[in-house]
Amino acid sequence: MDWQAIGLSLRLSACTMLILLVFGLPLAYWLAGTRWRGRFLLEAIIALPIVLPPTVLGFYVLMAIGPLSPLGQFYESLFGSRLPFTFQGLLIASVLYSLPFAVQPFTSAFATVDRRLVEASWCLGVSNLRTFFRITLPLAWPGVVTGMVLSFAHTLGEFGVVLMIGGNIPGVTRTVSISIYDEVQALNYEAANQTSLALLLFSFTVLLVTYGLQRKVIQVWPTR
Amino acid sequence: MADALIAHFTKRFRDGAVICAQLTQPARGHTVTVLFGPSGCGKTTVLRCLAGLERPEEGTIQFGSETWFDAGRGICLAPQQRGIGFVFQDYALFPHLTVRGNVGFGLPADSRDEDVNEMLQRFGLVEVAHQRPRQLSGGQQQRVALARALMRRPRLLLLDEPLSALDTTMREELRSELRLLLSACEVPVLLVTHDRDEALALGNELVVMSGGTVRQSGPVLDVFNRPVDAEVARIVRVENLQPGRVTKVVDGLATVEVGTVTLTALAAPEEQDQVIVCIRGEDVILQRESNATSSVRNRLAARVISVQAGSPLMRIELDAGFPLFAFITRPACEELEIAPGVEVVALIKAPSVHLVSRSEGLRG
Repeated sequence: MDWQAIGLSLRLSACTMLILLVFGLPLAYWLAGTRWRGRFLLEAIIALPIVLPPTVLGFYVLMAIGPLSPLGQFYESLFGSRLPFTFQGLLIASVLYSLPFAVQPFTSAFATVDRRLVEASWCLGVSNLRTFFRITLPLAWPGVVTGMVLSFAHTLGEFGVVLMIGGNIPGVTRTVSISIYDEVQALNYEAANQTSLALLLFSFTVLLVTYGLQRKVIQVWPTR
Repeated sequence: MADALIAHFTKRFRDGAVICAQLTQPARGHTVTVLFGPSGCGKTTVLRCLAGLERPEEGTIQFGSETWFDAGRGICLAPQQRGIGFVFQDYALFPHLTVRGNVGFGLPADSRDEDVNEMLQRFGLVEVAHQRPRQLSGGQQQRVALARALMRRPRLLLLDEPLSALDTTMREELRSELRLLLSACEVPVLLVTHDRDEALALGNELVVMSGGTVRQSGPVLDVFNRPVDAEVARIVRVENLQPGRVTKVVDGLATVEVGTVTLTALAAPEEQDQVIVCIRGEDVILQRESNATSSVRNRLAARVISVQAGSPLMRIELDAGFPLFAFITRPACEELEIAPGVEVVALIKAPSVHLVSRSEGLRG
């Protein structure tokens, strides 16, 4: 079994999940509350990775962070290294790739929180930020957990994007799914099976626990 | 007026609705101003603008020497900065917190537990302090909402249809409870309702709204008895309102002193000395002489003061020991030869005499 690849995949998934938590929560909160007419535009952009082939996403991210792009050049001038075929580059792609799986459940969860409870808190003199942490977030918690689990699981299983951005460098960009693919290519079915089984059991356990703790897990965009 | 809430503002909605409000309310002491009007006339919007939950497009809101809102100067204080208490229509209690958590919500870290205990005590919530809102009865929820709003010692208490979340039987019971709770707190209150009895039972001052604008304001009985125009008259609906005193209640029938006469009415749900007697003009029957006995309990000797032509009903102003308006058809009016100065008998069935109890003395 390729423990190195499993460890790398778990690390990538955890980092992606945390980044999406930090950036996805404010984005989702804003989306759930805004009356901006152009909201649908942003929703469509965020939802793109659901329908886009991972290779297409990977290709454009590769172009965007490559040494020829302004972003890639800026990163290189800042850190002295390039983004493609590194863990950081992979992380950027993973965040984009799993964005809808975090932001959609977050937004749905925020939209279901009764607006009047938030207003009641404001009227009691509690600041917007404290209201978020004491009213909105606790009440939206099941949806937030759903978003975290889905983004984690989705990152764990990504293949096409990794192939495009990360390649196959052991310990750096060789994730579980790449490792399994390699074993199959080399006709090492035994090793492929072991890793696959571990991934299957892990994914199933995570979903089992999540579904067990809460009934409504997967929600799409709120209807308004 | 230095110590007053003075609000003049206009709020426009995207769908074209326009809400225009002008109101004044003392900012000190205990006065209950009722914002009254049919559903959808903009009462709640006015309340939300005062709370800072909506931002009007034009106008000003002044509270004493503070400016809460001034469209011209671009001032709009956040709800947190206004020092108000807001009781929402279905209370908006925090479902994930206990009663205690709700009442003490958002208090500064240095606040004392005893203050919360005292408030729970005062509102009879000690026993349920560790329960969640959904485990409570409607009355208890109302008390939690009030206690929570009063915990921060607001300078103005805003209540949005405080009783509409309850069923009819509960509503009457809780109306008197709410009246007692409100009169016990020394805070000016602005209350929104579309229920006439609620307005009568709870209000000192009345602001009538319709179609997004304020039509009339003044002491409750003044407005109810002297609507400025047909629209207000249509909204307040009852033509005859008089303060009265229940002297006794026997077998569900109350004897009420009104002016110089006594009336028989069905007893109000609870026995109260002070009541407001409501009689619809259409429920008053006029006859020329008191002859045969009938089932009608109230027969009052009355003198016609004036006759106003209307369509299809004529409005007859009477002196029956108290001012009384009757509405009768034109043919009936002609047949009875009703004219100013004529002596008639006014008949009112006991169930048509509607009593609304009030513990405090009436003003205005």
